[in-house]
Amino acid sequence: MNSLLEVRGLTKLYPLRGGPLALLRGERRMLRAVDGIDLDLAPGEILALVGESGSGKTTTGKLITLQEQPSSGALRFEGADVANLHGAALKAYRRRVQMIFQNPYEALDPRHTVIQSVMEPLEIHGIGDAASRRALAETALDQVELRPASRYTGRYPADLSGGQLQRVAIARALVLDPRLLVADEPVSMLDVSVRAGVMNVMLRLSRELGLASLYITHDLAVARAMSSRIAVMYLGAIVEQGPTETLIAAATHPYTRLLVGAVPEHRIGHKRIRIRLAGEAQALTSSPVGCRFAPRCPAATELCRSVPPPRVQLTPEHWSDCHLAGDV
Amino acid sequence: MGPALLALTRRWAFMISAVIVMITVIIALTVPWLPLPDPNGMEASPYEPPGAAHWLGTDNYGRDVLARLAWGAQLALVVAIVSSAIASLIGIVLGSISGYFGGLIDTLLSRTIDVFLLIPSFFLVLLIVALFGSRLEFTMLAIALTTWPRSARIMRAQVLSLKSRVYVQAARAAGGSHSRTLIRHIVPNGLAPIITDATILMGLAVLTEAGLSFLGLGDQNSVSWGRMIFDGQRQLRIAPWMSIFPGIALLLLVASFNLLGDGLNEVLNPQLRRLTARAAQKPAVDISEVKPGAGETILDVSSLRMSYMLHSGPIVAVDGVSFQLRQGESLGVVGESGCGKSSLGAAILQVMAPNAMTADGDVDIGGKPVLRDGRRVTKDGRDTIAGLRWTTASMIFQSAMNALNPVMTVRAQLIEAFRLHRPEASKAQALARVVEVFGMIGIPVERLGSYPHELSGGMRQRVMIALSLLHEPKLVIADEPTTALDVLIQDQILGELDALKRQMGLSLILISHDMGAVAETCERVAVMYAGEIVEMAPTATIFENARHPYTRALLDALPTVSGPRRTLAGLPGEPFSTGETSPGCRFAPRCGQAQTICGTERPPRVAISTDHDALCHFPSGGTA
Repeated sequence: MNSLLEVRGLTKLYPLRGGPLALLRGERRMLRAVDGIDLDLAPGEILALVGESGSGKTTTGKLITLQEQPSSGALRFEGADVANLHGAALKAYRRRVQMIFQNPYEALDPRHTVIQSVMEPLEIHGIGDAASRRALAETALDQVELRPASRYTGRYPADLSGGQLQRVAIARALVLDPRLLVADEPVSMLDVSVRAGVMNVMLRLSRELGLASLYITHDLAVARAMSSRIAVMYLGAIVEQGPTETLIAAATHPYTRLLVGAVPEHRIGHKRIRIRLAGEAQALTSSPVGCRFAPRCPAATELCRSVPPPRVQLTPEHWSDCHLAGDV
Repeated sequence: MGPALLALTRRWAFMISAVIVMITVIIALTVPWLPLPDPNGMEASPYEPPGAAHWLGTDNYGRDVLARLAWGAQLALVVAIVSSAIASLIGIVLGSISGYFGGLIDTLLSRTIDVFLLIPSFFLVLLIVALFGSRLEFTMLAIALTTWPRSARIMRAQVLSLKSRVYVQAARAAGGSHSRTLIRHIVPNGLAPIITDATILMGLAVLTEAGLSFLGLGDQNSVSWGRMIFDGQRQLRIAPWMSIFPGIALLLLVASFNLLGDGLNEVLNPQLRRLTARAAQKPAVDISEVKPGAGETILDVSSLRMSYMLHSGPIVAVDGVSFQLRQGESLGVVGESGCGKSSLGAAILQVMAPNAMTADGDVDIGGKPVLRDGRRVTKDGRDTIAGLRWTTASMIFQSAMNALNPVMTVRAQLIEAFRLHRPEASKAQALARVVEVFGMIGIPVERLGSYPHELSGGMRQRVMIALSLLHEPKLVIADEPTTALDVLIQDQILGELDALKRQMGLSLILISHDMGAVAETCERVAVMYAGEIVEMAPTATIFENARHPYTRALLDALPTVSGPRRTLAGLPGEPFSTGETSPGCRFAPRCGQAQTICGTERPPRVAISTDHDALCHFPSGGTA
């Protein structure tokens, strides 16, 4: 595959503060936020990264945008290793890879007008003069369907709705003409009625500008509307990955099936079974002995608790890290 | 005294203090040209009492007190401005660096600040002046050096909270340098409390300088109020005016600086901004004058109207809502933010914000009249709703973290809540009931001893549900109980509510912006737009045969995991703003099927079937 982004064994450990006893013993516990993940992203493709809070999906986004330094693993962008970039090279990388954050209400500096916020990345990178920056920013506002742009340029964030704020945030990311957009739950704080509008803007941008996206969400229904492929993350690891429709219709990992089952169903004559999930995900401080989902898995066997699951390749595009995946 | 009046007096205090500071500034600026005698001239006779020649009298050397007071004002202001400016500047720079970069720098700077805050600053100033001499420049520098830690500490706290803001992260992610981000985004947004504090520093500086002069350590060449008081106190018996007038001036200026700071804080701090006014509630009505409602229904709401009072005028949030809920029935109330759905829940249970009032409408809970024509119904002087709240009808709030007390364990809070309505119950009885309720909604009993912050979002929400069920209410109003939660947890919480509804015969009102969330839990759905219920029908009917264009738009915007993949349709335009008035249908500006009549005439409520109605000119979809 002609990859735009190649992630191999990406890992992020955070030191945990132990008690005084742990310090005396010289123990240093590490939280395994991201635990050796692999991802590939083709140009123009939208890959959804799906998981609960605490699954490490936001950390993954921060690692890929290099807001956080990976503890280990490889990160290749357009063929070049970017994991240890510094200075000018890092700045250049940040021009190519942009991020959209979850909370639109805090996304813009309250003291800056819309146009100031959208022009800012251009100023940071010293692109063009004041007039051309303004023109580029207005084009970006038009691309996110804030039309006419002149209606919005002079307004302050306090005057805008959540949906409009998130569109401005997308425009600010677009203005640098990036190749990859990492979007962390960009619509989860918006009303359902305005979500679709923001999602459609992102889909159109990907289609028209060939912009690739890593779309991070906890909601499989949103992931389905947005992506061509889905990677499901649980406690720092990707447990199943495949083309969107296949993964939803023929999920093999019990965790994926739980996520599919949790989306409320409102079609008539369709009654889903609500699976009760035991307990809550506990953050990992050491590599698990068996499958990391086993403690909560309704189908877990003795094997699951003692042996790490193999990667079962179901189709060339679809795999699942589960002992039972082959049987389904 | 009412809060509104209190706010006014605070504004008066602010205005007076602003005028005093302004007058002082004008005097200080114009004093060389004022027709006043030389402040150091000794032409007049000493100890002359206030009179026509010398308005405020003369001192022991025959100097004019008024002239000295005016020149002293200049000195006071120079000291105030220069010292507080230096102190704030040092504070901003060091506080920002400390808060932004953290780590070792922060530890070092924080400790330095702590040490400075521990030393009594006046003694430090004394020490500096004693060592370096009493020139005015040194005095001001000494004052600044002892007061900057205040500003630094405030700035550090500001930066700590601001640096995690999304726009700061975004500026960094765009490639902006640390210094640029700090200067462009963090410092400007964190300045407000520093500016407020600077006015207090000004007062402090004036006092410190006066104190130094009083002790004879002030600049000998300048006229200072402190020095005037010092000179005057020895002649207090003979010439009280010598010290009284500078004393009053000092008091007024320092007090004005402080009041100015308070006022500025109110203006600069958006959290203290009073946009709302207190609503005058309608007088209550006694139960003896009221006809009770029907018995079968647990909740009967009729023509309910509720509005919020803002300074700009009232805003109608709930505009003539009527519906009934049978015992054991569940109703989903769906709509966008600002449509009035949460206000509806608050109005029914009368748990509204202080600036809200029910203007009209009747509410009956469990056959008992609670509201008549917007007036609370009372019995023996007590609101009937107060007796029903939590015991017959309870509420689950959206933000579980804010609704729970962070410094009390879950057990303590629930026991307290239980005994609030059953004072006769023992602690053991209360605990038994809490354990029972926890069992019902799947909270492990060992979580009883936890504090709210130790629980996950889903667990906290469960505790909120437990709280609402303690007294076995018949009706529960859940306001967005799952909005902030992951889908998996949302699904479980909705499952719990569904099961409880069955087990306890609970009547449920589920308020949500998400059609999907109410779809499986509720038997009926009411869709709200701009304060009105625009369509109401059994859930299946809403999903199968929605008639109002707004309902259909909400459904089309909903992503699914089953059925064919389709393009989601976003709703055009912005939600109806409550300030607007339209002679026609409120949804018309965003409606794809709007005709001319929709913009000019209020739509009728059309009955599609016995249990399905829509507020629309064209409920069949096409033209009439």
